[in-house]
Amino acid sequence: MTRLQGVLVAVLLTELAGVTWLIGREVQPVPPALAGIDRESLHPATWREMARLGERAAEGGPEDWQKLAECYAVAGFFREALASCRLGRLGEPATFRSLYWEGLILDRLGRSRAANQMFLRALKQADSRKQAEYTIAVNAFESLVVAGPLIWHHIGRNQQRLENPEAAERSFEKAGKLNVARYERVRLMVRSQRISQAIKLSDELLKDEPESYQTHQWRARAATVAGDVQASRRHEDLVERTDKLLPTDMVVEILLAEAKRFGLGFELAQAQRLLEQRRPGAAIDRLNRLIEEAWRPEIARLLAQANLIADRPREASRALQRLHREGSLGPLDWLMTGDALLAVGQQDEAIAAWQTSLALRPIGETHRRLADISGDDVARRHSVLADIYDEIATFRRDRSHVPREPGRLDNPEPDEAHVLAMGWFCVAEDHRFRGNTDKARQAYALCLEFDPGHGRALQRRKWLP
Amino acid sequence: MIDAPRRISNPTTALSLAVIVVALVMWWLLVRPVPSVASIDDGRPNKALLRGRADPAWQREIVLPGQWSWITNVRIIDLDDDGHNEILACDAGANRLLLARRLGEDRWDVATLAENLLTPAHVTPVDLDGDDDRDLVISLLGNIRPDDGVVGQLVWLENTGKGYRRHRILDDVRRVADAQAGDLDGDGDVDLVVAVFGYARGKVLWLENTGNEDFIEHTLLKAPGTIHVPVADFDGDGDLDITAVVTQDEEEVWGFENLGKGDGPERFRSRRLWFTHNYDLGGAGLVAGDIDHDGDLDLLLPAGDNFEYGHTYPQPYHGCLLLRNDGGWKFTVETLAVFGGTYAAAMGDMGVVLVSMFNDWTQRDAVSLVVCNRDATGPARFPWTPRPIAISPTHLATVDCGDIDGDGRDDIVAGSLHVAPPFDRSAAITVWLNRERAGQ
Repeated sequence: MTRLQGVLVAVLLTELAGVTWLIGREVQPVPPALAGIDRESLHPATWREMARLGERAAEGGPEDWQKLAECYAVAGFFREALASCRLGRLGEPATFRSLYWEGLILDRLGRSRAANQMFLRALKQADSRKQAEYTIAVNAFESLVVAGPLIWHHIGRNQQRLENPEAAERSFEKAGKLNVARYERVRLMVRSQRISQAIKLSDELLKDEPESYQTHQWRARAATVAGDVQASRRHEDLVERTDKLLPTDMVVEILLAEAKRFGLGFELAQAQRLLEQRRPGAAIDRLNRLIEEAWRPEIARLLAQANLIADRPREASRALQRLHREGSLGPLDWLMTGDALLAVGQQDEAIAAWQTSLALRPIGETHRRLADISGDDVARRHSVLADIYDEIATFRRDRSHVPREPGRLDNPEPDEAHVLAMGWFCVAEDHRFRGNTDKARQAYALCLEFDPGHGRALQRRKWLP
Repeated sequence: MIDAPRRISNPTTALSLAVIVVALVMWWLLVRPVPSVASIDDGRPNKALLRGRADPAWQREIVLPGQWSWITNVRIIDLDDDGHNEILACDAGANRLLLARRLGEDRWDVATLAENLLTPAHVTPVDLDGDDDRDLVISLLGNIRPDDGVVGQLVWLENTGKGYRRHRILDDVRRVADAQAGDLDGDGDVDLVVAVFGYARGKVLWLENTGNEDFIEHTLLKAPGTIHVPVADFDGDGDLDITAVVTQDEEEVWGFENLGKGDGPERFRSRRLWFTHNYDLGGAGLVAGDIDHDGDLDLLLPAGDNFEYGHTYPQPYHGCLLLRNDGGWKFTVETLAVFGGTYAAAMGDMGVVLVSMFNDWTQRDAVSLVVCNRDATGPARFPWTPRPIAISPTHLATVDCGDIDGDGRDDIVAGSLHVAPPFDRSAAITVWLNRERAGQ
C-alpha cells in the first residue's frame, strides 16, 4: 500500500464513521427534548410518562413516536408534538393516525392551511384503504367515531378561521349528518340571510337533537329575521328549558378527552372510575400517591370527595385544608367542607361553612343541609327555600317538569322575597309555555308582588293573549 | 461488438472514487432536513409569538405575589379621594375584592374590601344611589371555567362611609362579565348595562334604575360570550350609547344607539358593527377611546382568548383590532398590533398597552406586556409594532394605566390569571412604573 492509498483509506474510514453516525441519528432520532420543558409546570406523573415515552421512542418504532406526539399534544406542547409526529414517519409509510394527529396539532398551532392539507391526506389515506368506516378511538365520544365527517368538520372550521365561509360550508356539507357540522351550516345560512334554508336545516337538526339549546337559539334568530314572533318566542323558551350543550370546537374536545390517556389525566380518570365502581379505598390510595408527589387542586377535590364517600371525614377535611389556603373555593367546596366538619362533630363550623356556601351562591342542597340541622322556624325557612331552588333547577333543565308553587314564608326577608319571585316566575313561564293563560297571569302577578322590578315578568306578561 | 466494462484496476483510483461517493452521501445526509422542534415553522415563523426582553426603563414592582392567582380585573383609581391613586382588583381565586396602596418604593399594603364574591370579573366604581360617594358594582362570573349554569350575579356594594353594604342587583342570570353605568334614560339617576357572558347562552341587558334601589331588566341582545359593554356617546348626539363585544358562538361587535325616547329595549336601536367568520379569533374585551385623535370614540378589541385548558398557543390573528369611528355608526376595522394571546388593552400617555395571557410561555423570553405607538415620523399606518416591556410575570389578563407613584406620568398595572402552566414566572398583581427619560 502506498502512502497516498493509506491516507485515502483513513479518510474513507472517517467518512464512513460519519455516515454511520448520521444514519444512526435518523434511525434513532433524539426525541424533542424534555430539557426545554419546565419540569415544575408538570405533575410528576405527566413528566414521568413523557420521559418514559421519549425513551421508548428513541429505541422503538413509529408507534412509539406517535404515542409520544399524542402525549405532548394533549399536554399543550404542540411544537414538540409536531416534531415527534414527523420523526415517527421518517422512512416509514404514513399512517392515517399519524396524519390525522399532525392535522390536529397544526390546527392548534394556528397553521390552518397546513392543517387542512394534512386532514385531506388523512382522508385520502382512509379512502385508499377502502375502509367503509374508518374510525378514530376518541375518548370524547367514549366510542369509535367515523373519521370522515369529523375531519370534514375540522376542515370547515379551519376555512372559517381563514374567513372562507363558502369553502367552509362546502366542507360542512361533506360532513353529512354530523350534528355539529349541520349546526355550523345553520349559522352560516343565518349570517348570509338564507333564512328559509336555515329554518329547514335547523328543524331537521332539532328532530335529531331536540335538547340542544344552541340549535334552539339559532332557530329563534332565524324565526326573528323571518318575522315569525310566535316561533321565535317558542324557541327562546326552549333555549332556557333544554340542557344539552353541542360541543363545536371538536379539536379541543378531542384533545381534552385524549388527555385521559396520559400522565395525571390518566391517573385522575382511573381514580374517578374506581369511585364509580364503588371502590373508594383504591381511589384514595391512588390519589394519595399523586398528592404526595405534588399538590394540585383537582387531586385535592377528588380526594376529599373519595374520603367522604369512604366515610373518612377527617381525611376529607385534611384534603380540603390546602384548598382553603390556596383559595378558589366555590359553593360546592364549602358544602363538602360542611359535610366533612359535621361528620367529625364540629356542628358550628359546619353551619358556618354552609353559610359561606350560601353567601357565595345559594343552592337547594345547602339550604337542605341547614334545614336538617336547624331548629323549627329556621328549618322551615331553609326547607321552603331549598324546595324553590330545586324546583327552579329542574325547571331549567327539563321541559316536561311542571314546577310546584313556592311554599309560604311569613315576612320574607328581601333576599327571600327575591327567591319567591323567582319561583313564581318559573311557574308563570311554565303555564305560558303550556298555554294556560289565566294561571300564567296570576303567577306573574305573584312574582311581581315579591319583586316589582322583575323585568322578564313584566315583559312576558305582555306576551299573554 | 460490445466491450466488456473496463475494470478499475488501480486501487488508488478506486479509493479516490469511494472517498468522493461517501463524501457526497455524507453531505446529502447533512443537508437533508430532519424534523426537529426548531424546524416546525417550515420557514414561516409565527409572528404572533412575540419574544424579547424586559425594558429596564419600566421599573417593576410586585404588588401581590401569587403562583396560582386568578386576578380578573385591575383599576387605577383614587378611591378615597386623598389625591393618591390606589389599585382596585378582583381576585377570582379567593372570591374577594382587593385594594392596594403604595406605601413607598416597592412597599405595598393590600387590603380586602369585600369577600364572598363568587369569581368577580369586573369592578365598576359609580355613585349608584346618588349620595355623593363612590359605590362599587361587581360583576360575578360564579365560575371561571366554561359554565352555562345560572351562576352569575351582579352585586352593588353601597358605600356607607364606614364600609360597604352588599345588595344583590341580579342573581337569576348566567355568568356576568361586566357592568357599566350611566344615565341612559335621562331621568337623572344612574342606570346599568350588563354583559351576561354565560357560555353558550348569554345576553346584554340594560337595567333601568327605578330610584327605589331597584332595577328593571331589559334585554338588548341575546348572544353568548359578551365580555365588555362600554357606555359612551359614540354618535356625538349628547346621550349615552352602548357597544358590546360578543365572543362565543360569534365574534362580533354591536352598537346600541340611544334614541333619546322610548321605553325599555325600544329606547335603543341595535346594529352589528362588525363580525368575523373566524370563530377562533378570541375576542377578549372592548375599550373605548379616541385612538386616532379625531374627536370621536373608537374601539379597541384585544383578541387572543385561548381558554382551552392545556391547549393554548398564540394564533397568527391574535393581537388588537382597532374599530375606527367614521361617524354615523360606521366603523373601519384595522389590525392595530399582532401579539399572541392578547387578553386586555388599556390606554395611557405611553400609548396603547396590551397584555398577553396566552403567549407561548414555554419560551422563557415570550413577551407578556407591550406598548404600541404610532410611528412619530410617519402617518398612522397599521399594524403598529409592539414594543416589549415585560416578559415576567406571564399570563396577564387585565391591565390599566394611571399615575401610581405621583410623578405625573402614567404607569401600568396588570393582573395575572394562571389557568394553564407553566407557573414559574408568576405574580398576582404587578405594576410597571414609568422611568423613561423625557423624549425617549
